[in-house]
Parts: sequence; structure tokens; C-alpha cells
Amino acid sequence: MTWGNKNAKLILLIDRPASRAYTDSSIISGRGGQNLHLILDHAGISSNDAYVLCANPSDIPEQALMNAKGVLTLRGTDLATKLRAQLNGLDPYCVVPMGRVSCSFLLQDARLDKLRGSCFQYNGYKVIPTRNPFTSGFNTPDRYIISADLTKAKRMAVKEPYKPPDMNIMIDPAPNIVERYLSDAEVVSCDIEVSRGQVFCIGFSKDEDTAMVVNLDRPLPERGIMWRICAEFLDDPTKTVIGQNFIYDMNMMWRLNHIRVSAKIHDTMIAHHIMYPDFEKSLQFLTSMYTTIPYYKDEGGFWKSGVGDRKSFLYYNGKVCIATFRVWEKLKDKILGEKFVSQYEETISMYEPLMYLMYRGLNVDMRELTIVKHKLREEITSIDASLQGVVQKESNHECMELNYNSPKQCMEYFYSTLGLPPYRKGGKPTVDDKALAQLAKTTSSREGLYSAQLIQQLRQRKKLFSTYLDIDFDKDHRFRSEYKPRGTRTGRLSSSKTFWGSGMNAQNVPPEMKAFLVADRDTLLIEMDKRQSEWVITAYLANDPEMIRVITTGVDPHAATAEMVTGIPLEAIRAENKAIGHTTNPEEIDRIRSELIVEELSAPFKLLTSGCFLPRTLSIRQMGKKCNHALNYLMGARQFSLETGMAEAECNEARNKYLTGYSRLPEWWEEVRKTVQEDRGLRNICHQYRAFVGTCDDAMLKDAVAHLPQSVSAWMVNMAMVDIYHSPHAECVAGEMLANVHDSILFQYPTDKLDELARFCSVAKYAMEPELTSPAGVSFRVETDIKIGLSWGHMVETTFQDVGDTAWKLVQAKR
Amino acid sequence: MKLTHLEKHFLEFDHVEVDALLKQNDSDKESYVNVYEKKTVKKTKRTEGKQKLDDYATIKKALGAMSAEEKLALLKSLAQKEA
Repeated sequence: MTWGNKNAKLILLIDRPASRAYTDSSIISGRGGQNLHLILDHAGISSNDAYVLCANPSDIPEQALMNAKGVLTLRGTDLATKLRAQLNGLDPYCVVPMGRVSCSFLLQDARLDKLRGSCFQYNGYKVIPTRNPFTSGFNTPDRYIISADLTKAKRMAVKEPYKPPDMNIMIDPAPNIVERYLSDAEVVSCDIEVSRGQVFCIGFSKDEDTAMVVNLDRPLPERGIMWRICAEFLDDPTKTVIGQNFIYDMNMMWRLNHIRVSAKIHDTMIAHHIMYPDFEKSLQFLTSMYTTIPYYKDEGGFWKSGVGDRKSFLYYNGKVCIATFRVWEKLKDKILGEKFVSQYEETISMYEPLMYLMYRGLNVDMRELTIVKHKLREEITSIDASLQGVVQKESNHECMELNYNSPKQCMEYFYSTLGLPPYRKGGKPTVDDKALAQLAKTTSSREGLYSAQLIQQLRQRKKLFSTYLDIDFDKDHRFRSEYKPRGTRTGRLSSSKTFWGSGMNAQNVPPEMKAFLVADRDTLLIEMDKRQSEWVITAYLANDPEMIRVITTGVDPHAATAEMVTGIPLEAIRAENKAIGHTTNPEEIDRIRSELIVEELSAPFKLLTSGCFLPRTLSIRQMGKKCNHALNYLMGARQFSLETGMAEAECNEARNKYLTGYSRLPEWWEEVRKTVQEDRGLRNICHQYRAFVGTCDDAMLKDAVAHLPQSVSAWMVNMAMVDIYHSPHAECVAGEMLANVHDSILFQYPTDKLDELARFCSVAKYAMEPELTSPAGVSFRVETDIKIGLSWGHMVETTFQDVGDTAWKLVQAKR
Repeated sequence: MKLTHLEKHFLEFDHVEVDALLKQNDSDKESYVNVYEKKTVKKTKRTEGKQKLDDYATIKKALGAMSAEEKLALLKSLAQKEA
């Protein structure tokens, strides 16, 4: 069974016929076929331009044709031989294998993720593999990728054989050649390769066809000379350097060789990710989309794993430089156009401050770390002891014991001993975190199980131990992370452990770990945090009068929301929150509430709240906080119940009251939906644009609604970081930036300059509170909170007016 | 607050400092341990399955060097032997 024009010179090779191919009498029928039709239409390929064949027409299972590594079996080889003979008879100019099987049949290589989009000359015709439209085609970005590959194939369907692009790569040149190559270069692409933790080579390319790779794996005096030539070029502010994820190269060069890059920087990864946030951003992907260079990434990888030679590694580096240069040539006009330029330049401006954060790191108090570990062990023992008591009570069995580490025992306890209907995952009973959350909350038929909550807490602490407390620190006892300026689609930074495996994500540090991250000698830590940033921004974006009233009157939004949802007076909410704190034990909470007297109203709490809705496992203010964090972003009652541990009926009630109180929210969501549907993108109030691809369903709407406040909040903090770093104020010279945690920045300030601290803080506050204008034309700012302390885990709240005094008192107390 | 307030940059170094830096690089290179590889090695055990995968890789490499006819002949003879 085939489709299209038999005489066409472009042949599309699908892995297997559509499931309804024989009933519909069409090789491309059903949902997958519809996808392929859409893709062909998008690529401008009609039934006259192409001929569609099937590599496996009898639909033999893939395992019978090839193994997991793509090695063909006897049946596979037989089928592949027949297919090649059939193709030879058709005499095509270009063949597109669309899937693993057809790719393996033609190229004896099933690594479709790597070969996709590359052009190979094979058996007298060109081969351009692409993804399978019947499986990947349901994912919108993949549909665009297949379409781009088909457009390339259509262009390549000409008689002339494929000639890979000419690349003139000069490797291991002498110093005078390096100097000569760079002397007249104004714009170069640059890339380093690292081997055994050191820079092995650095490559430059000043046009689309040539590259020069400086070998730095050479004896000492010569290596010093080479580094100096490269350093002089990179430090020249009149030059322009293009890189792919260049912050990595800059960070490595600075940390290992103290090379500073003062040249103007362009980054292909950043440019692509700003314009197409839903697509991959690796150089391999960009090369396949924007250039005709075939897949070459294996060449570097082989050397790194000990296979191959040094020369191939140097050539590989040269190819990377040429590919980066070519990709930039394709991207530059669009990214430097009006639509994206400000966003792009703002992102690039973060490189230097981020390198500062990465290099400086945070001081680790190793003694405190031991204490924290000891405390945590004790806590685990104590919770485990409580768990044993709770399970004995729940099961009415005096000898009952439960090992929280054993999923088997836990399952037996919940689903056999207690006889509860099992929660399942993939059809099998499970006691994973979600199941435990379900077990912990009250349902119509039973009370929530405290034992499930305790097991969750024990698992959380165990994870804390292995993920956070057992990490490696650098030799100088500092905690460092690697920041990625476009780690997320919203523009928020992301961070991870360093290249050397030390440190971890700095934006997800639990309070237990913060306790041993301390200020350096004779300095203080200062943390500036945006106050309920996303909630405030949402209020102005939605132009909700009630939310704006809460903000302008200065009431705590979490308490205000709690008051609105429960109808309990603010004074009682505050008193209850103070008494309960973060306790989650329902019995303990009930006891505290029954004994609580609200002094401001001179009345017992129980009397004030009789007949009101009260959350069972958290304080009323905490519930308000959870509502504020979740319900602005279209969270349903079921998910809300899972995340808060409240019963679903409670969540439903809370959600309804929230959306009645802040009544503009649903209208705003509808406006966002309309904009995304019509424009396929959104521009936030900081003029940053984000494209959305795919069907505008609920998932996309949730993403779009969350994107608007999150991107603005991230922008404020990121730009503040840049402003403070470059601030000309004398007070800022002494300050140091240590970490960025989405809505907050952590600084360090010397104690011998405390008289300048207040001024530094007000400069930072000014940078962190830019004036924003809502779509309704209302100007607003998001307030900043300030905390200071000697350890990140024990900070004292203060105000910008009192910061000097508080700091002085802290220093005195330490002495 | 500037990166160069923390340390001197390369172009500010004299020859002695450059030499010291590069010698330090060499000594770091000698003592370098790839933490990611180390962890993988820890976890990996040479099981029968892994051995089989290695065998597949060797066969695949050998097959890559053969022509289509040779491959077919080889696979047919192997199938006959098995039968």
C-alpha cells in the first residue's frame, strides 16, 4: 500500500501502516495519518511531490526486526534488503525515513534522536531521517520539527548529490598564526572543550566555513603564550563573541584560568530559547534546524570516553564553532529585531552577575553541618517512635510495628491490616507520596490517617539527609551552584550542582540546610525578598478590586484570604496562626484550638469560630496562604486537596469562596485564553514576549496564566541583580551577592562598614522595586522584605529603616 | 562588587603567576576524578545482560564493515546453526 506520486523524487518512508490503513484503504489514515497530512500541508508537500512507502508493510513487531540497540535481526535484514531494492527501482533523489525502523533499515543506525534532520548521501540518493509522525506527531513541537525536516528534504530532492558543507578547520596552530587569525576578526564564535577537569582547547570561527582550534594541552611556556593571546582577544570590548550556552565557557575559563570576557556576547542558546521556548535548545538540535551540517556530536564524545584521538577532538571543537557561527547567522535578525531584543539583551546582561554568584559561593559551617545531621537523625528516631504508637492505635493492635522504609510493609499495613481500598499506580497498589497524601486526608467514609502523614514526614527527612546533607562541597568549604539564565520558560533562573559535582540547586535549599550556610568572617547576611510578589502582580493584572484593596490597606493577604474563605475575624486568625505554627497533627491542632483565647477580642477561639469552616491539618492562615498560591492559577479542588491535605469537600468550598471573593479572576483567565488563542503568544507588562505552540487547552491556559505574574516577578529580581552589580554607588562596592532564589536575593556585607549598610540596602531596595504599570494603566510596586543574620537559616526580620540598628545589635550579640 | 574585585584576571598576572596557575592546572588535572563517572562505576555491575549488550555492540561493529550480501549470508548461516 502506498500514497502519492510514484514518479516523485521525494520518498517518505513510514515505519508501519496506520492501524486503520486496510479498512480505510490508505497508508496514512486515522489520527496519525491526519497528523502526517497536516505536517505535509505545513511543509508545502502535495500528493504530487512525494511518494509514501512503508518500511514494514506487514506490521511485524519492532522487536522481531531489531533489538533495543537497533541491530537488525534476520527478518529485519531481509526486509531491509527488499526495501533497498524497491527504492533503487524508484530512483529517488531524497528519502526521508520517518521512524526508528526505517532509519535503521537505511542507515544501519537507529539513533533517530541524534541523526534527525541530518542529510546523508547513501546508495545514490540523499537520506534525511526524521521523527515518526504517527507517535511524535501528537506533540506539537515535534510536528513543527518534522515539518522543518520535510521542507529541508523537499529542497534537497534534486539530482545533484549531497555535498557536506566545506569546513576548513585549522588545528593546533603556532602562536603567530593564532594572532594573525584573530587580528582582523571582529565577530567570532567561540567554544572550549574540557577534558579531565581542565580546558583542553579553545576554538574560534570568524566565518561560516573556517575555524581555528588552539590546543591548550601543550607544555608550559607555550601554553601560557597561547592563553595570553586568547585572553587578550576575549578581553577586548570592541570584539563580539558568539557562543552556545556561553556562560558555561565563561565560568570555566574564569574559574580555571581567570580569563575575563569583556567582549560583547551573543548566545545562540539564549536567542533560540527566547524565541521558541517550547523547543529543545541543544547545539545538536539547533544545528539540525538551522544548518546543513550533518550530525557530528559523536566525534567529541568518543574522545572523552577514551576512544578516538586528540586530533578528532580538536576537529570536533572546530565544527562546534562553525555550527555556532552558522546558527547565529540564521537567528540574529529575528532576535535583534524589535520583538525580542530587550528581553535578549537583559538576559545576556545577567552573565557577569551570575558568574559572580557562581564563583563566590556561600561559606559552609562544617561544625554546624554535623550538628544539623545529628539533630535530623534524632528527629527521625522521634517521629519513627510516634509512628509506632500511631499504628498501634490505628490498628488496635498492641504489638503492631511498621518499618516506614519498606513499601511492602506499608502496603500490607494500609491495604491488609486496615483493609483500605488500595491506591494504584499503573494498575498496581502503591504507597508513593501521592497515595500517602490521599490516605492522610479525610474522606466521606473515614478519618484521615495520621500514620500516612508521619510516613510522609519520615520520607521527607530521609530525602533531606541524602539529597541535601550528604552533598559534596568545594575544597575551600564553600557551597557553589551553576546558574542557568534561561533555565525556565518564564525567565526564572535555574541552578544545579557544579561541573565538579559539588553543591546543588541553590534555589531549593531547605531551612535545615540553610542553618549551616553562614556569613563569612566579619560579615552579615542580608536577604531581600519580594513580598507575595506573584499574588500582588496577579491582583493588578486581573484588576481585581478586592485583591487590590487588600494590598493597598497593607493587610496580610494570606490572613485576608483566610478571613474571606472562613468568615473568621482577622484577630482570631492571627492568634490561631501564632499558636499552631506549622503543626500538622490534627489532634494537636484541635487541642490548641480548644484551649486558645483570642486576647484582642477577649473571647475563646472555639466560640468565635462555631459553625465556621476550619481546616483540620493546618492553621487557617496557612490555608489562606495555600489558596493564594494555588487558586490564582486555575488549580482544581482535587489537586488543591492533594497538595494541602485538606478534604476535597473543604477544598471545593474554599475554592468557591475564593473565586466569589476575588471575582475578577475567572474573567481575567478568559481574557488570557482569548489572547493566547488569537495571538499564539503573550506579552507581559515588562514587554517580554512568549510564544505558545499547540492547542489552547486547559494545560496551556494554566501555563499561560502562571507565566504572566511569574515572568514579571523573575524579571524584577533578575534586573535588580544586574543593577546592583553594576551600581556606581560607593556603598555597593563592599556588598556581595551570594544567591538568587527566584523572588529573593541573598547579600553579604562587611561588619566594619555598618554605617554604609542602610544606604546599600536602600539602593538595593530601589533596584528591586521598579514601577510597573498594569494593563488597566495603574502604576504599582511590589514591596520588599528584609532579613539579616549570621546564618541563612537564622535570619531576623527587620525594616529598611531599622536595618543599621538591627545589624549593630546582631554584631554586638555575637561579640 | 565585581568579579575582578575577588581575584586578579589573567592579563594582570606576571610570568611567575601565570606559570604557577598553569602548574596548578596540571596538578589538578592529575588528581581529577570525574564524580559523575565515579558514581556510574559504583552502580554498574558486569552482569550477564551487560555482557550480552557488549556482544551486540561487537557484532554490530563487525556487521557494519560487511556488505549487505555478506551480512545476509552470515545471518542465514547463524540461523541454520541454531536450528
